[in-house]
Amino acid sequence: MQNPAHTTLRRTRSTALFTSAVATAFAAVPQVASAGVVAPDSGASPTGDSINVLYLIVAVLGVLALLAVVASIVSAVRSPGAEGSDAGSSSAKPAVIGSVVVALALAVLGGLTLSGASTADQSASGTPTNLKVTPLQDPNLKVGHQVDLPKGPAIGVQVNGQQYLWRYTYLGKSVYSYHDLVIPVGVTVVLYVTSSDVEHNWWVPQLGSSIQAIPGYVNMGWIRADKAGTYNGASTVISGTNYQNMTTRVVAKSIADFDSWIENKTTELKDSATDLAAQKAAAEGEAK
Amino acid sequence: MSTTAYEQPEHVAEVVVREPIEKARPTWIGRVRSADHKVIGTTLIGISLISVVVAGFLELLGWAQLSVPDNTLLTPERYYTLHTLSDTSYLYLFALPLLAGLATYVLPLQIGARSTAFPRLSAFGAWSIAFGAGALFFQLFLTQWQGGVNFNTSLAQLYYSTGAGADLWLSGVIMIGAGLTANAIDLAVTYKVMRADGMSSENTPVFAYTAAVYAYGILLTAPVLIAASLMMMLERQWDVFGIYNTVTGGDALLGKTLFGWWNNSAPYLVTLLAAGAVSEIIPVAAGTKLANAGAVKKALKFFMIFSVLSFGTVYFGGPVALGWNCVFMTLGLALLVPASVLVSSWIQTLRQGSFKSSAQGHFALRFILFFTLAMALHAALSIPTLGAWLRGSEAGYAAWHLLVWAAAATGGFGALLYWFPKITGKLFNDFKAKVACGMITIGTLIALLSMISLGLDGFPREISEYSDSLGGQARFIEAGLGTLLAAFGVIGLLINFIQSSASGSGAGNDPWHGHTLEWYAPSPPPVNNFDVTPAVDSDTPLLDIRSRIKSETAGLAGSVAQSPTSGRPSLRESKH
Repeated sequence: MQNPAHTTLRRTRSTALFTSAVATAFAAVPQVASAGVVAPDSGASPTGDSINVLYLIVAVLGVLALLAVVASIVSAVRSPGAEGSDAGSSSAKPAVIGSVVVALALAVLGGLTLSGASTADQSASGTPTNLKVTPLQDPNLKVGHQVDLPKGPAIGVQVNGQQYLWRYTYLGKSVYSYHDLVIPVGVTVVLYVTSSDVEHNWWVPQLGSSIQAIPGYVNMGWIRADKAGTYNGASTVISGTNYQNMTTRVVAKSIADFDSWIENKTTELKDSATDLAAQKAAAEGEAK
Repeated sequence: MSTTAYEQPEHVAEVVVREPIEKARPTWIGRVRSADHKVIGTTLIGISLISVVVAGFLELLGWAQLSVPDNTLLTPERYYTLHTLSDTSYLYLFALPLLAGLATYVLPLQIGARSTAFPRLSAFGAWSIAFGAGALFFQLFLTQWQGGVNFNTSLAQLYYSTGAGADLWLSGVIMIGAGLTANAIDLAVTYKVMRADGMSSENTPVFAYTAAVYAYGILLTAPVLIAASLMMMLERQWDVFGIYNTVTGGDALLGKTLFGWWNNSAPYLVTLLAAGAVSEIIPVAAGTKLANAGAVKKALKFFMIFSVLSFGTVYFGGPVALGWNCVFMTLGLALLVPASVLVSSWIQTLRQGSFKSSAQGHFALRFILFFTLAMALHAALSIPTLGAWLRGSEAGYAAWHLLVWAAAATGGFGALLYWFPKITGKLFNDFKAKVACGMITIGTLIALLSMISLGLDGFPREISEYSDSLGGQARFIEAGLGTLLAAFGVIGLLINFIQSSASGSGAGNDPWHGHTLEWYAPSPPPVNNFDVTPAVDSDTPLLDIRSRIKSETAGLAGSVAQSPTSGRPSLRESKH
């Protein structure tokens, strides 16, 4: 025997519970979002932000779906059963229509962010500098994912994964560095990611970038850090017994600091090359 | 051999049940030689239940390592070995054999067949999987493969991975893949040719239908795994072919594609079978027919197709053009449609019936929860930029774990409990099983949510140590404690299985008032299952018989109308 008043009360209660849970979820999400606890690390680059937004959309939809499923299971299990009165009303149509709509909406959003991620920032704004990308040309590498080069100020860097570090070669400059990728703030950095041994993955969560480093291929991607600072990441593919050392670090500096870093690095590399040549000559002289 | 004829109401075909000629519990040698699909099925289930203990233990060791920053409990080398072995055991030795074993056991019974079409093929499959497990664990005595369960062909080149580790891992996987393929051929053909009279494809029980769909899924993917692994072994032995190795003219992308084809699909095929079992458990627990049965079957079929086709998500962040990224995204998101049809049909079934609380019912409800969560994460992983970001993180690992552990365990253990009385003839302890279900659910949920949060915080999926400054310690400990709770639940469930099968009370033929033909056979079924099967004219033949008896005996008092089989003496004592 079913007491209608009782059922209504229960329904009201579960609706209230459901609504308050949704409200709490909505209220809680933005507050902790930046902490990287319930949403991806971000807040430093346009790609990172777009990934964060996408994630939040999927997460809110997922949480809503989960709450709806739990609520309807609970109410269905608690109710003593309609005994055939509802039997004619079952249909798969609402589920099909609802999920097609959700899937299409996600596909459109996904497509939009994807085209954003594949086209390096086209606005010519930002600090006017004479920085320009020198494209990587290596006939031995097959071109994988491509990115349209930006019109505004930008630099190009070849990112090479090797057991167990990253080597960054600044294209068009005679500068390279290991471990740290130093970049100017607010300038688009076009990355040419490749590997000279096994597969790696160049991932800096806050900059929103995860690019596969596959031997024999060059995959392009781009990042732009809008705030100065250090951004940490790690490779996501086991690359051998010292994989844990395969970490990533991006250091974003102001353009002036970046220019002086490039200058220092150039001299440093030149000096060490000269030193090396001198040592070599000395060693050869001794050998004679 | 003695046969006994029992009196039946005249509308039910005469039932002749042959006395079992073998002992219910075969000896070891009997088990090896047996061509009985039920013995083969229980062998696979046994492999899976042993493996889950091993896999869980290895996983807990991993969490212990991560509970302290910069921990030195395990060397990185050891950690990657255990991690790889644990993941491999979960997918290849726990999830797939558990559900394939249940399918092998139940499919012929559900379709009124006396055996499978090629029982020796399935027997070969089961033992091939057992030997594959041997090869995988033999690594521990030699060198070990440390490249993770999603095989990485560039790392597996002999130059980077010396020793026999990768070869042993590959041969283990080849044996398991061959075993699954053999079993899948058997299941697919059995479904095709051995159905009882009147069992058209719309009259086939939903789990039997799912078993066939799963079999086609395995036939689409597992042979690719075998071929890819064989080529990898060839290249490791004689590095002149130029298959995956860029240096000798091969293509690393080929390895990514071939292994990705299998690696992406396998967890979904596990979930598919679990979903099929849940579609069987829920209507019986609710005492009603499955809502939208036709749509559910279609959904299960498209779930398989789209899960195989969504393999392109492995390329995200990699060498594919924008257009292909969009194609892969659409194929990935398309999986949401069959998934939501399934979930909504389960809920509608629950709403139409009245749910009778039982341990298998609890597991089935938990499965719906994990399934929904898994689909939400699947949607996130199907969007190229977000998917590339998440896949390699601890959240991507959580998505994988959701399928091969959470969905496989709730669906698979639920199914095992549901058919436990049929398999053993005994009833399990319902209360203890419910407690175990609660522990597994809560523990797994805690672990998964911690892992997702760690992933969003930028922790990669396979990490052997991390620095204190990153601030993940609390969540790593949480994940470990959650796993520990789930592990206790699993141990409790296994003890329950062992105790109940030894000394549980008799279950009778049909303890749940099931809808399908397996409940028509005695528990455990004799070697040839049935001599005669009743006429089938819907996907719930026993429900039909029961309602027919009910209408014809409406004037009579008594419990005869309870079950079509309770009217006749069972071979074993029957206590309801």
